[in-house]
Amino acid sequence: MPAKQEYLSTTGQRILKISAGFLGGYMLSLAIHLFIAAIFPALQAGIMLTAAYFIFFLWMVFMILAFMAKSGWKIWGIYLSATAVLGVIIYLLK
Amino acid sequence: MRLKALPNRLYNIIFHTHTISGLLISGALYVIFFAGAFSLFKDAYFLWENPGLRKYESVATDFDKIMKSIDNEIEKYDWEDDTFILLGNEERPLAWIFGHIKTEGEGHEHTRIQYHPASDTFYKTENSTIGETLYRLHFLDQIPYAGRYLAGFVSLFFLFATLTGILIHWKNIVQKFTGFSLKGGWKQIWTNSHTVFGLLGLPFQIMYAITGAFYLLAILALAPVVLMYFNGDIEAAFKVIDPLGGVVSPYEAKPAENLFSINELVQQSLADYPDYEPESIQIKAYGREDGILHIALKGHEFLAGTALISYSLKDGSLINEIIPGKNKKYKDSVRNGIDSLHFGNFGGTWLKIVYFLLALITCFIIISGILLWKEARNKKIYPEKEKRFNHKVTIFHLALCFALLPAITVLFCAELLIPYTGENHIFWVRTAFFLSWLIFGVIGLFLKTEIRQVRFYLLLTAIGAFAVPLVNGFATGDWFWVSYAKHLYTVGNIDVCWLMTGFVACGLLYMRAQKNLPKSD
Repeated sequence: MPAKQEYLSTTGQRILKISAGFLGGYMLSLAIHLFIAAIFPALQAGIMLTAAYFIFFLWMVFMILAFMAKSGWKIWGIYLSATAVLGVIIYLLK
Repeated sequence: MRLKALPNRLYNIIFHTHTISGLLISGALYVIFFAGAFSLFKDAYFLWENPGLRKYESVATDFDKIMKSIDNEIEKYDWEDDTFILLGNEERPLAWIFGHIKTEGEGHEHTRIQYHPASDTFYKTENSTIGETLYRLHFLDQIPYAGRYLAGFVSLFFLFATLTGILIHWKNIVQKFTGFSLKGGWKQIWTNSHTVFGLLGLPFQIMYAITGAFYLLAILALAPVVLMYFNGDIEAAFKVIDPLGGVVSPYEAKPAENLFSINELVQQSLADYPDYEPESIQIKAYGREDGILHIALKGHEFLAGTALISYSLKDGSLINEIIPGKNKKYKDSVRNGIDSLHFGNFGGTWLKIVYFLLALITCFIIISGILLWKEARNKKIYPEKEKRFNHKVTIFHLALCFALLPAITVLFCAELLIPYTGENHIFWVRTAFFLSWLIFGVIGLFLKTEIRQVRFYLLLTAIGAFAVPLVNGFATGDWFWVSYAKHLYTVGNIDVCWLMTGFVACGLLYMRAQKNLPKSD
């Protein structure tokens, strides 16, 4: 019943994945909400309030995806670049 | 019907994260759900813990009288600044008043005070020790500074544990709905109840994980938004977020010659919306020509059912109204809806009872999770040292969790047994509660086996649960049949619930003695 050790990753990879899920996941879920608010300025208040609770759901989904990833570096890369792309679009739209 | 399972690698990874995250939060999560379950009935404790107020029939609230009483009670009360009056309800007929006092020179002093309309008395201190203590415990507020954030992150990782739990059991998720059984050894029973109850309570648990995180961690989402779209101007953001943000008083107008009666305006709003009942009022710039009265009326047709109606105090004209089902927008419903879901106040007492049972089921899921974690590792292939450690962790968790219920009975007894002397009373009642929790917990650590712990805590719970109605009877003379005869239903119900808890605890002890429960492996 306990998880089989051979499938679990090494300590270094684990730290990368946890940090990617926790920090990267937070940044990305925030960026997604800010991005939607930027393309629909009229709905800003509603999106802001949705963010106040829905961000936690997205955050934990990204946390799970980070653990599923094969490489901690890769998932950090994906989360950071996605956040950066969204950040640039938000900046341009503002 | 079977669904597609996760591939082996992912299954094992997700399983591992579920185990670790679940174990890390389990102690705090149990306390949060258990104390939270009792907080659902926070208002119902009011008359039980204030025997002096049991003689009053609750009366319709007269705002003009409240305002007159405030003037008599508080010197230099500043009516021109904002006043917020939150009405009580039938169970807790006590109004909260939040306002301001004029000070020498610039600025104001905030004041918050409670008012009992029937006896026309004010209370400066909290007079709901049981409800308040358990309510604050349910977001770990007694831990200075970090408590709320800790509770917030526990809530967040509870969501993580719930979602990973779904992924693990995805393949057999349909069968699990009806899969409960008491067959097999302990490991199977714990596994079975953990998954089946986990599935049945799923919507409830996801709702609490998200709304709990919302209350305690919303700043993580809102602070960046305010920085980005409002240049850090919180007031500007609130104008958009707050449903009443757009309806403002400039506080510049000259003193008014005559003002409308608050009662009259509240009556007018109720005449327009007869299915609603008053919940709270906000008075802005009272005494000036631009004075505004905001009335919040509670409706029962919608989840976010509060209607907000604003009148000018100068001529009583309607300035603004936000009515559910008519013009209440999504953005005005979010907070209202989350409050309704989290506090379970959209379906009366029966809904709260369902909430209470689901919260207890969640506590059971937490306990069975810990036990199945231990039993799954109770095999020959695991080294003795690891097994001993797992055993210690289990014993610690059970002591922490099971000691809470008898400590709550101590909290109820202490409330009536410790003489009422203002501020000190609250301190001693809380000390009795936390100290008994600590002592019961520490004794549990020395009991060495789970079964002895369970017996000990069932015994303590039985004694404590029988003591609560006895203490109320001897201290106030309101035995439960007397309470019912006097129409003090909440008081009588609390005593009867504790009596029933006592009988259930005795029944479980008896079953244990008869060895009707499965044998330990």
